[in-house]
Order: sequence, then structure tokens, then C-alpha cells
Amino acid sequence: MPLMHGLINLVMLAITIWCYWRILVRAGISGWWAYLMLLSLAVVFIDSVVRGPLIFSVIAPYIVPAVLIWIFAFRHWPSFEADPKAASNRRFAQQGRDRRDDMPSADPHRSVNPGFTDDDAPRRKRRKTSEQK
Amino acid sequence: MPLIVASLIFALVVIYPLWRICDRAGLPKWPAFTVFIPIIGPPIIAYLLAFSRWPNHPFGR
Repeated sequence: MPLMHGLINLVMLAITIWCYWRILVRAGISGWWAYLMLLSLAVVFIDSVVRGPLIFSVIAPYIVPAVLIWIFAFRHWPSFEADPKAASNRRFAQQGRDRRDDMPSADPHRSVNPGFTDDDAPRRKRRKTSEQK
Repeated sequence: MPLIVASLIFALVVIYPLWRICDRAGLPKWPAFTVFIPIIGPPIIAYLLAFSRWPNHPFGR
């Protein structure tokens, strides 16, 4: 019976994660955050090891979903700040340029790995000069 | 009995953020109260939010 109860809980958890994934993606947030729901399992496990008071044992599975719902309700939703009329690659332009969109050479503030050496550069240069000849 | 009490405590804690989520999504707010139904309430509201169309969504999803 406890095994059956545990299996039903796992199925419920999987369905909840699936629903949360869809909700987060609609809001423009990465769906991977839905997997934070798995922390509920950790909380329940810790409670079973520590053997806390009964009321905490009953409330334990609800703590993580409650925290996630509060965070989700009050954080900004990127999809709702997008411009639906803009082209698909410019929809978030009003939020400011993302530095990751710049070429490394165009962004003077980008840190460059000083240890990086382009081993292929001399070969390309030789090929270019030979083509010019 | 303890499970029902825990469900009610959970419902009291999350009713306001769920109300706000429904409001931001442009959905009617009454579905937020389904969270008061013990055990099956939270999955119902999650399903509604996940699969219903959000009128306030800029891309009409």
C-alpha cells in the first residue's frame, strides 16, 4: 500500500512538473525551472529521516510548490514584455540589447581569453597570399 | 484529516499568488479558488493555467 501511495505521488509530481513547464514557457521563462519541484522529494526525504512533528510531515510536500508559486506570481514575465509586431528575432528589442548578440570584436567590454591562440591563422594568411598571387 | 488540514493551509498560502497569476494572464480569477479542493485542487488549477488560452498573452497563446 505505501508503495502504491508513493507511485501515485510520483505520477502526480510528473504531471505537475509538465503543467508547470508549460506555464513557465508561456511566461517566457525556461521550463527547466519546473524541475525545482523535485526538491519536494528531498524535503519529504529529509523529514522522514529527521522524523519531525506530524504537522511538518504533512505540510512538507507543499513547501516547495508554495514558494515557487509566490516567486512566479511576482517576478517579471519576459513574454509579456515582448513586441508581437516585431520580427521574431527582434521581439525583445525594447528590453535593450543583449551583449550576447554582439560579435566578440564589436564589444569592447567582453573579456577575451588571453590564452587563446588561433593556430589556423598563419595557414589562412599563407593561403590568402598565395591566392592573391 | 491531517492531509485535509495541510491542503487547506497550502490553499490559504497560495490563493493570493494564484489570484495574481490568473489576473496577469487575463483569465477569470475564480479558478484560483479550486486550490481549496483538497488533493485534486492544485492539479486542476495547474492544468487550467497550462492548457487554457491566456487572453493577455502578446502572442495569443
